[in-house]
Amino acid sequence: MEFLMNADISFKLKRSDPQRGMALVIVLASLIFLAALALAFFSTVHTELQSSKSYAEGASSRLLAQSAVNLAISQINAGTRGVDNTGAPLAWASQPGMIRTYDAAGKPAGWYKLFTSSAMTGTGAFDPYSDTEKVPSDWARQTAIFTDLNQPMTSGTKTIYPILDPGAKGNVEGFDISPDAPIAGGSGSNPAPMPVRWLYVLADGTVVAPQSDAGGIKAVVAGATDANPITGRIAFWADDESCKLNINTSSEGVFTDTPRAYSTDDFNLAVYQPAQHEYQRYPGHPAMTSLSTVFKNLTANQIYSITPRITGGGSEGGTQKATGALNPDPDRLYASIDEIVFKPILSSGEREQNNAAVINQDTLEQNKFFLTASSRAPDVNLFNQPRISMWPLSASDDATHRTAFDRLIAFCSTMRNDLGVPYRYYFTRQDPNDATTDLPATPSVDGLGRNRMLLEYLRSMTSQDIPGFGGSFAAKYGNDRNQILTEMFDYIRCTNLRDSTLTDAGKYTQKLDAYNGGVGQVIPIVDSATQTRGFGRFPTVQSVSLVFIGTADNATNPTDTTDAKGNVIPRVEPGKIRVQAGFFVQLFDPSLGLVQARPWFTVKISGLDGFRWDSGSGNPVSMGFPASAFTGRVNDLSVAGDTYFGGIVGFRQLTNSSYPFISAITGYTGQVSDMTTNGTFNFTGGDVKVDIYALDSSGKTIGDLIQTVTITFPSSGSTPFPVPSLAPDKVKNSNDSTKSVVNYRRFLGGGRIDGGNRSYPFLSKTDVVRSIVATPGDIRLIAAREGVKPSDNLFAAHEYFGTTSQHFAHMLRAGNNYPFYGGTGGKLANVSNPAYNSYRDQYTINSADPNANGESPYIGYGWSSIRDTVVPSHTGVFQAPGLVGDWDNGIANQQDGAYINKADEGDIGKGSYQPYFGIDFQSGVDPGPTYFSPNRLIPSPVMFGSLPTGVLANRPWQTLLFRPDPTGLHAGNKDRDVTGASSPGQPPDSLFLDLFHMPVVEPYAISEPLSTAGRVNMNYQMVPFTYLTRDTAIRAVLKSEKLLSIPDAKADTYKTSGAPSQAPSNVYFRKDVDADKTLEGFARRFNPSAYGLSNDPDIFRSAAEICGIHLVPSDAASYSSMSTYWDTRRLTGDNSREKPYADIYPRLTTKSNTFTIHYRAQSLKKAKGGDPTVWREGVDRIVAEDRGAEIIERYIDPNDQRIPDYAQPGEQTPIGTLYKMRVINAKEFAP
Amino acid sequence: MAIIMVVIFGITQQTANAWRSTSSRVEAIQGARTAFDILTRTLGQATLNTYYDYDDLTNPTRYRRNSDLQFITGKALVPGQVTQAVFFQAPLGYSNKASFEHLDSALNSTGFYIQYSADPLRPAFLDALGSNKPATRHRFRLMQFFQPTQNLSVYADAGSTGWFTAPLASSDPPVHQIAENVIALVILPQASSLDGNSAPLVSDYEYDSTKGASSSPQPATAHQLPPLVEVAMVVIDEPSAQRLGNPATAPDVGLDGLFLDSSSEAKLEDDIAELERRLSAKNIGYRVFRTKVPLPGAKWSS
Repeated sequence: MEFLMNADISFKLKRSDPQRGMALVIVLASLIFLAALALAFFSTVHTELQSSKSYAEGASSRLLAQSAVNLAISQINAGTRGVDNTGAPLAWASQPGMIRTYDAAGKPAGWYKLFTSSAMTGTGAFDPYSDTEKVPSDWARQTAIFTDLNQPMTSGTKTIYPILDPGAKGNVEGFDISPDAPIAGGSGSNPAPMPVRWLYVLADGTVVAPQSDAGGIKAVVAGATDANPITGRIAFWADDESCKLNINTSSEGVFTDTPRAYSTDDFNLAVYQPAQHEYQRYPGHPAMTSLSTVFKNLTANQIYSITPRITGGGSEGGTQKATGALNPDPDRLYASIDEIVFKPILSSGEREQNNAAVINQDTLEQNKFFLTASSRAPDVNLFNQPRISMWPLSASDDATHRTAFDRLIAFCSTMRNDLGVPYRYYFTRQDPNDATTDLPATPSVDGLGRNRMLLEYLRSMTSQDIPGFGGSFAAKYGNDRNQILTEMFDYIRCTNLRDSTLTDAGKYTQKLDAYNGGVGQVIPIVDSATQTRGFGRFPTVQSVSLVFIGTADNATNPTDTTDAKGNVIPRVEPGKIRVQAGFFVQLFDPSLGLVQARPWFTVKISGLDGFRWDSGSGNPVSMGFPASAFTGRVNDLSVAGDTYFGGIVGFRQLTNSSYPFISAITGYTGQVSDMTTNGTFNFTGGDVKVDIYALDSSGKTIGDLIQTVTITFPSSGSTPFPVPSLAPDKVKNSNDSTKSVVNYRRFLGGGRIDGGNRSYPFLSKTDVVRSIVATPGDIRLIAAREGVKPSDNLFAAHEYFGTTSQHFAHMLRAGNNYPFYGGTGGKLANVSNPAYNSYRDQYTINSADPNANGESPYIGYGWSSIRDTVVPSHTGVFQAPGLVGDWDNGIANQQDGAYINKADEGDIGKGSYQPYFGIDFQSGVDPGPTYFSPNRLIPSPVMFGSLPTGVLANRPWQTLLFRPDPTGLHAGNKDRDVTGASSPGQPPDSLFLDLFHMPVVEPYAISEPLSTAGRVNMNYQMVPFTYLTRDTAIRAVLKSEKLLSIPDAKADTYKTSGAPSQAPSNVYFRKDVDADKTLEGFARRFNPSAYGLSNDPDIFRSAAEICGIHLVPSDAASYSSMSTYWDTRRLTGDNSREKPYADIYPRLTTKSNTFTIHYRAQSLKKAKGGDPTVWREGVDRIVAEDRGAEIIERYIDPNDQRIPDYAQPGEQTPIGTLYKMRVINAKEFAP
Repeated sequence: MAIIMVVIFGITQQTANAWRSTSSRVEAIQGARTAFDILTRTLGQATLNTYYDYDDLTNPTRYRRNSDLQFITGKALVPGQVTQAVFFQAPLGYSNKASFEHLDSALNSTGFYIQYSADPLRPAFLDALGSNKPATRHRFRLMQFFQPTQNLSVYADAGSTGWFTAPLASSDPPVHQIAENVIALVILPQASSLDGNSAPLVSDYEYDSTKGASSSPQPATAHQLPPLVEVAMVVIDEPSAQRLGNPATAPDVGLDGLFLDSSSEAKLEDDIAELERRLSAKNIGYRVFRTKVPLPGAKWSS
């Protein structure tokens, strides 16, 4: 104050301008103001900085999350490239958490973890049960190393799990948490932990797998420095969507099949067929996969009301006769699984709920781990190249020749529509009446030449070692490999012969005359490049027979007489019989099935002029047969007992009133003398050539020789033939309402061949018959050859041929398998009395024949309810000792036999005849639009299963093996060659399946080019969480399937004769699949040591491997008991045992295109000071976290201009490089 | 003294101006950036769930792409819309009902558009104040249409845009403002260079995934999500907005004739440059936000 009072100053102050003080004040004030402004500015900046920082941290955790997703995607891309670094092909298979690759030698090549781990990739095999790979039990203590991706969060009172709600246990079929699960100690710990390792991220983006330190609460991150610090960490695990049930394709399956036996269930299958659009009953359709494994409390109809496009009704689960096609509901597809809560319609502005009691956000929490809205699997083979469609299309791409289904299937098998001629992976057809038109020699991208390209494409792949398995079919089968491919081509070509949704003009096979000649008939294809041949839909020779009849004796011809033309008919001496012979050919079409096949061909027989007989003079005389002539063609009459559905084509089909193969008559001038009553005669045979010719549409023989079968008809030698006795002259036609009688003492001129109509017994007890029969009887081997020579050993004299005391040595039967008098029986399975009490070695009549009225009964006695065969064996057929033969169960009541499992084109029955069970009476009626669907004909390539694999190697009863063979002896097994001999490295037959597919085109494009939705991955094993089991989707696949299992004891009754109008009561041959027991077959693959097996743990490399897994029926004791189960169900044919696989295989995969990446990402900030390479959990700071999941899909744009034509020879572009990725759904976990 | 005062005043004034403009811009940018972030992130989750379906359910003759959902951009989708709008579905899992709140991938219909309008959040009681009521604040506003999943009507409204026009026209539309003073929103769907050349897929900013979808052959845009969407958003600062005078109808901010032709990307560049020139000429503070949003759900096939 004193200072202030200083005068001088005061003076100065006084002297100063008062404004100067003001200036100071103003300056100060301004400064304060500016300072305030600056402060405010800084504060704003600070706030902004903070907000920017937190935004940046959030963004950086999101970026980290994205890098986790990208890392997962790069793992998927690397695992699915399909080639190794040298360009050699690799097979790949996916499973939750991993993709594995396998080389062309069949060895594990490498693995790609789809979860964060210290080693993300590796070579060789992978064992998730090894100590180094399984989740350590103390993971929860290693907080800097492990993180639980399934760590729940609470929202209100609810605990929400990001991936898997452990409450699903007990509520969802096929889900379990093993007691070994590494559950962290303490209360409240997650009962379903899914711990994976953190990967740390440095500032420069480097991702580092940390070393554990201090028991895992510190992570040592190599490479981190102060300048390049740890900025975050990421963890992920990718689930495989194909291990879940797809809510857009699954529904609730109901079993259906072609009836194969006379049982209650098979009869119902015939009568209560699935209606058109009843997709839940389409064999092999993904709608057969059952959602009730997840939604336990929903009925089938409740499920149909939820599933898009699937409706109830129709056959009502196989309990009613459908009255018309179903109208599929036009509902939307679900975009995500949560959408299943809602119906598409609104009520009062709010979406209606589907079934709120069962499907709501709480139940979906438990179900979400088992459901998906977007699972797809690639339709590429193990070579990572496109598969070929199983469905044939007309070469004429117009509305007359192609149905909507055809076009949809074509769409699914076509790429590069930007080109004028796109790349097609389906076969086309044009001419059923020619052996080469549909398979020209010259390849072309366009037209029928594409068939050649595709067949060569198949040949190329079957010549190479198969990635994932090793070995090639060319090495295994030699020339039979070409034969098998030709059979497959022709099988496809002969599918859907008479599409009942096309007009007649557009159908593949045509009616060529008023009696439907040519309908359902296809001349077998011949591959001019390999001289191999398919089956077409066409008969071949089953047997040739000489029928000797007694035409007169002294009582009928006591004196010489003259006929109307003045020719002398010499008398018959007492004690003599006048004899005449006819030569007949019995045919057999291995393509049993619907539709009808009406003959449209002609047969030329040569060589009979060498046949001689000698009634005791020692001077053989020519029998007078023509040297060469054509048989007749009867198509203008119905021949009783001939059904025209394949199998036996009766010998009477070729006879008519000018039938040339009738011998001279004994006793005439220049002929052999009449024979001694009850005596014998000698016969001199020779080679008989049977040529089968095509006819043109006007019925004229055209140049194409379809087949030549040369058969040696041996001489009687030391065992002369017995002499026939006098035949009856009045034989009643029991089917003839006029009760007309026919003279059996002649063949022609009102005799056996042309007397009245053709409903006669034909043979009489008085006759003598000698036949050469297809032996060992697998007609498929005969049918598949263009030329059959005696040296092929496919025919042999009948077992009684050389037994003089036997008058009948033949297996002549009508087309419906009714034996003619004296015919012998034949067994496919060695089932005997008492189960097979009605079996007869020979069918004869015990009572008087002819009867007192001189009439002969209609047909052989003792044959009413059994269906034996024309196979010349009384003890069954075998491929090798201990290995039963492969033969097919016939449709419904049709006899079993050597068939090729033709696709069933359907029958809805005619008039009072029930479907399928009336076809003995030619009652087949095409299904029409009420029932038709491609899937019902061809569920999958497993339908090939009855094609023989040893035609050229002459291996009868050996067909493609698409089921387990407990003996291990079948040639179709792996490590077996064409003869069934041990040959390490040979591939199993089931890998043929991998080259084909049947697109699913209903109710929308479930198949698209190169992928199909809704397939279920067989590899349900979860890596690294092997303590979690989720086989729900496999159970869903198995749930609707049934096995045909015919016990030996039913041999007498499993087929019946006639046309039954109703089902037998309480006879059930169809067994449910026991999923628990069946899944042991899967578990044995994943974890063999748990079953005492020594093989390495592995996953399935191809869905074709399902054929090696026993489907355990409900009446089997265990999985292991399947090794003997079928030994007492021997009447179950090979086709029946394989059919369940045909329905299951197309719904399975081992490769997925869709994955859900569950991730967790944290932005990190190390506290100041300390070692920059060490992250200290709890000390250093987590600044932001992002959790969530992205569903990604790898896909190919079918019009991508980089896609080459894989059918071009040498095309090797790895398809894996053409895939793109998209994100279907990205969601953060923030309940 | 006067000089000092003038200088100091000048400094103060400039500082204050700088602060004002900076803070208003910071505010504008902060709000706009958040909005832009919401827009682009939401757009990135757009889905169509495209599949191949029969052309005719009961009498099919061929497949064609189909979707029950819709992705639509355009210049006149909403009454009073300024520049462009976009509407689509995304699995956002939003519901305001407890029984659906955990359905985190359920579908929502959503969309973005600009409206020039009064403050939608203005409390109603203000209007009751009669002649003393404060003036209504009119601004350009970026709006988000975001409907709770239980009200999703796109399946029921197949073939029409009723799924967003009807709720928007309702008395309580599910819409909220996400930023103010956004004067232009440009949505330009493009092909991705991964799928060939990167170019605009439509020439008039009108992308409708259902347009021409029943014709044969279908146009490339039918039931396909564009692989890329270029998004540009122009924001002006609040002082500039105030200077526009709060008229009841949209004042001229220089948008005339712009953003109508999307035949090339160069055209978009020209339009943005022209708008910037016009805004500068009007002394309007602005900022342009631009990005290309990949739609990872797209499965483009040309």
